[in-house]
Amino acid sequence: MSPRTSLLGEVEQLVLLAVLRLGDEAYAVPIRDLVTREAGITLSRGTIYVTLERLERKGYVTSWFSDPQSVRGGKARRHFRLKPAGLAAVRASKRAIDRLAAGTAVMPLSSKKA
Amino acid sequence: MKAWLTRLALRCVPGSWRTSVQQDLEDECGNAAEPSWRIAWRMAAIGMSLRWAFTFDGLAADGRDVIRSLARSPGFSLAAILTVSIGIAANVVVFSVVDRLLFRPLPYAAPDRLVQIHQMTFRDSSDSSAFLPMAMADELGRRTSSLDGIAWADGYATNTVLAPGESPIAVATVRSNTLRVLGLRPIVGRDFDADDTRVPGQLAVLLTFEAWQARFAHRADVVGLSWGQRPAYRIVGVLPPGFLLPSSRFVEHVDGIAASEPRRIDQPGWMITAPFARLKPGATVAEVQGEVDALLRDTSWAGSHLASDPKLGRPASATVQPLRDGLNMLVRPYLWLISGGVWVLLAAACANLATLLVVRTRAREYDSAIKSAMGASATRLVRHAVLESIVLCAAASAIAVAVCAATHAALVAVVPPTLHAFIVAPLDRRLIAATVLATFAAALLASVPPASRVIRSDVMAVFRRNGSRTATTRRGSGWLLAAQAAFGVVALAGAVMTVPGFMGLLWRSPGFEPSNLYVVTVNHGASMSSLGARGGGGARVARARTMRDAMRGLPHVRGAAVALQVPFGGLGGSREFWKSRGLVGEQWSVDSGYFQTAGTALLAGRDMRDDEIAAGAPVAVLSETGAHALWPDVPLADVPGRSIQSGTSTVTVVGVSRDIRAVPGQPVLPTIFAPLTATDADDVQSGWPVVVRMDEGVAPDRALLIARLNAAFGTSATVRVQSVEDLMAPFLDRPRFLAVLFGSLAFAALGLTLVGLYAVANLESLQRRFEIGVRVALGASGRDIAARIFRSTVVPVVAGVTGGLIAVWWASASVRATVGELSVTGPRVYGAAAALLIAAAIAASWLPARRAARVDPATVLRES
Repeated sequence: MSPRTSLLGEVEQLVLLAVLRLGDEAYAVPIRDLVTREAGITLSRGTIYVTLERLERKGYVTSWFSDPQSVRGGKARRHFRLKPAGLAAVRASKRAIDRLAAGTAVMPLSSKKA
Repeated sequence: MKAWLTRLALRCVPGSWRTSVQQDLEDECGNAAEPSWRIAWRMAAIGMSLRWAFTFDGLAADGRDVIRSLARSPGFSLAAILTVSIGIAANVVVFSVVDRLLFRPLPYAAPDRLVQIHQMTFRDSSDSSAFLPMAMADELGRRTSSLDGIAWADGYATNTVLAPGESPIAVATVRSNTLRVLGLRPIVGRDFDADDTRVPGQLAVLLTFEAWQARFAHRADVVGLSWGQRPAYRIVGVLPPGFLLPSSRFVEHVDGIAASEPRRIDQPGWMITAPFARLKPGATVAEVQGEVDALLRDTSWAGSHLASDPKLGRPASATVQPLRDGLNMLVRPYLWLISGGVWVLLAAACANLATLLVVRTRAREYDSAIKSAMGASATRLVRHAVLESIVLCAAASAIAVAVCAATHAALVAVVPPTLHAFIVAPLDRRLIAATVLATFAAALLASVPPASRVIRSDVMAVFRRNGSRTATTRRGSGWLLAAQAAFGVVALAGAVMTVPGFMGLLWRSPGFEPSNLYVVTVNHGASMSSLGARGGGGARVARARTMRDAMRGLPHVRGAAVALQVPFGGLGGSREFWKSRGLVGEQWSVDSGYFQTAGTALLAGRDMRDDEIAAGAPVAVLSETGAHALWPDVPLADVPGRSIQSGTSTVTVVGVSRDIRAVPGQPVLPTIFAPLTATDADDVQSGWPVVVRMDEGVAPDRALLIARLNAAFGTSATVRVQSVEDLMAPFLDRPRFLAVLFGSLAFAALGLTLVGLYAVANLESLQRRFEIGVRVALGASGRDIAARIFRSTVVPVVAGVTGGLIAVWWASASVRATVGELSVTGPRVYGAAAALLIAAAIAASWLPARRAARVDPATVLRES
């Protein structure tokens, strides 16, 4: 599946934006917290992991393992970073929503706020 | 405890996430003093959701990969799809016929509480019937405490015409409480009530939903519509959709049911087909059986008029069984035989597909080893194999359903008309669900051998031998081929047992000329005695002659003769004459001119004359078999003039006729034709059949005949006209269906075996190209190479054929005992079937063997 043509699901959009915001500190726990705090949506842990895995398969994010945590029995975390394709997908998705919503009751409110 | 649980839960998490998930949960829950089991549970849940997502994410990609891969091998894909579609299509066809009879819940309320009571035995054990005297059924309903109502449907449909020129409406009579016993309510109008059966000659009709839809376009004002005069029909309601007449005597088509409460219920001789009853809540079939047995043992019960009847004697037994068993009891062995046949065919198709997939897996073993070496899990490889099977089976299933839907009309034409009411639509939901189920079952079964091959595959060994094959796989595909060959022999044997029998029915002369021959039954709605026909031979002859002359006076009639019994379609006459001589035979009472009308040749002597019939002279005509049975050593020409004792009188044989086969396919019985004045007409029989020979393509004019009969007798008559070919058709339907079925099965089995063998032999030769090249380079001849390819395919087939022959020999006796239409075949026929299959195997592997024998070693070695 080509990143250019694929569609982003709602959860994928949220997770991608969270990864973008968190930068190098993007791993499952803070991503979930950020989505809950900013979007008011509580996603299960499983959903976060599955979405991250799927985004990586689609080529939107890349992951690496951190050094093991500096506590007894500490393990490595899996961190994520947005790839250019992921950034393009987020932008395309945002643009599509803006274009579709233009002229509807949704846009004047948000544009006034802006 | 915690460590143990965590380790266990971690096993659920995919490796790439294991440490991360563990650390995340430690971060979240480590300081919250959360119970260890809860952490483990969360971990396991996360692991399962990840695995689930991985599986389905990968599934789509794998599916696309499988479809691309199959598209690159069109020959293989086509063979595999064709193979499975044959098996699936056969199952779709048969399931659409047997489902309503064997598996689907009956369309009645609480059908498990409905029973059928049948099979009364009269006189002696050799003369039994699935009928029941009406009086007895009525008595059972009144006197048994475990029944909540008893009703009956006689299983005959009368064609009534709403208006001239319109197609008839087939109405079957039932007892007025039928719907209450079945637990049904009309969807329009009302149920039958007591008033509906009070007025003689007026019948209340409940239309079937389908007839209401097709004939009256859902018109609500159909209630109250009436037509006809004797009897007059009046629609009182519409039955719920899918109504099934609860009679084991299947009728071809019913548009409605009419309430009928016979007025002569207490008279001996009034029979009904097996009645059905509803059990009271909590009552069991065994309890009802006990009550029925007790009633039959009670010599003083109210139906004593039955016991005193000299012809019927005393009933000996009645069987109570669930209604479904009662409905299908006459066809059950056939249905299971047919179902078993197509299940085996599907199994053979699965084996074929498995063979093809195993060979394909083997051909791609090197690719799989590379995937495995690059990190593909065994699960992924197995999933690929299973997906391949599912994609092929799904495509085959879609083709099979499309073909079955397109050829539904042809299926209906082949299936016996009595089963038409049970055939479901080609896109019926249950049928589609069963097809999907069968498809997945077939796909999973067929994927087991290739999947196990993938699991057992040793990557290093594959790399070392670079794709060459092992003896284990050769044995595996050999077993599958042997199984197919065994099934092929069984199917071919089935075909040779049924097809010639049916062809024989078509080709063997029945002893008369059935085309343009009609049986016209005249009924004056009154007994012989009231018409003056019982008062001796003269009165009866006068009545017979009047009827005969009325027929002969009709336009396009070539000949007509009265006969007290319909001598065609299995309805014969008395057996007493032959029984007294220790033989099974029949006595038919006929008028003069009967043989000429029927088109039966007289082999010696002459027909009975008009004056002999009129005078009730002691003369008779014997059938050829009858003459041989009485005087085995006397030439037929010498039989006329001989005397035989019949009861108290001595009868002179005046002629010998050709044998008449009353039931197509059944043995000819010795028959004596007596003048219709020589036997007492049964008092309850008010209808006399007249055999009428018509001009080509012309049926008797019923309206004109009725008018002439009414004028002659002064009473209004009803006339039923039946073509003799129609009377005989039901006897041909079942053999025809079996012959078509087994013929198709044999054809399909042969096709499957051919496809399987060709594929195996072809891929075998391709797979062993390098080995063959080396052999040829070392001096092997083309003949040696071809022989090797032949051996790898023909030897398993020979083994399978041998096994199949043993199975046929073992099963044929018991199957033949159940299914009468199977003809007796000797070892020579089975041997021919086996030889045909082996010849097919040789033919299928000939082309691949020839190709292998022509391999150029230089080219092959350069390629490697």
